[in-house]
Amino acid sequence: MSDKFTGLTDQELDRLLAKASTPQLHAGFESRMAARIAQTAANNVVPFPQRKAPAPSRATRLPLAAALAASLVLGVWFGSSGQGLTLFESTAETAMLTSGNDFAPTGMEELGNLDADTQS
Amino acid sequence: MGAVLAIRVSEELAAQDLQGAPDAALLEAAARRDQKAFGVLVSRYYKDVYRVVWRLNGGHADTDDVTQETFMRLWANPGQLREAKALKGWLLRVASNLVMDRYRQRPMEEIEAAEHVTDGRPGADAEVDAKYVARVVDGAVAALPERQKLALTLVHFEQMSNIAAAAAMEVSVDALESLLARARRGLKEKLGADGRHLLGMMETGQ
Repeated sequence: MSDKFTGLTDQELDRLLAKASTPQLHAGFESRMAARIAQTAANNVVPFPQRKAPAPSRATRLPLAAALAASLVLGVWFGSSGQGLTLFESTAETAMLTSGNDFAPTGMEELGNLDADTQS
Repeated sequence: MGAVLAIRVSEELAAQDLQGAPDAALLEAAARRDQKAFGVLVSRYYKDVYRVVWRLNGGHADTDDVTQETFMRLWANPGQLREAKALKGWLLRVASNLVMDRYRQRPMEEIEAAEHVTDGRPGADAEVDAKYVARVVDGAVAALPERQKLALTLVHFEQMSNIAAAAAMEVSVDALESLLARARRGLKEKLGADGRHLLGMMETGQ
């Protein structure tokens, strides 16, 4: 088959194509590929992220220790002196007094009547 | 000592088995993340892939990268191939798609014309002429539309049958033949003016 535009025949084109460059393969492709595969395989192992508790700093440790020690001393002192109970009782009474009628116990009379009924 | 020897012998036998193993078995092993089996596939096909990529991208320096990327696509999921016998065609298709994607974003550099410089050695002129002819032909091939260039590369340069090339390109044989005919016509037009001169250079160089 001849080409009317250029005059080149198929045979001539084939002869020219036969003169095209041929690629020169770079040495070591397989080893580079193997290294990349190995690297990918290694990168695929994703360690589960471990959440670490933040280490307390010196600035936060001292006040915390002081507060714990103080609460321990107070607890021992209240327990040994018996003042803890009186403190709680007085606190409860004060709360009832200040809350007025809203805090008045209801149903006490009914309870008394009920008690009387059962006895009679 | 004996146990170590036995392990080495069994490893060598396993390596020999891998070398002769069919693609299907190697793909199965690669799907189980067997790097040695995948290495055999690489050594079996990388030259084919490299040559096609080199031809499609006009001998660009990133031929090695594209070839590696092609095999990385396979390594990412070896089970994606429905038929192991279609592996070569699949690799060439992926490689050609990668080339087209790359150069769609970044137009290919024009192949520079060879410089006509003689170094005075006997036969140096003929050597330069041969290089010049090769450069001109390379440039004409590189300037073809992508699909025509791929068809020509597979059939003419890679010596694949029309059926295999059509399968690799996922087109009918008729479509492939049409692409080939257009590619050859395009080359004749491109080389037409200088074709005879180039042929004359080749004859005087021989």
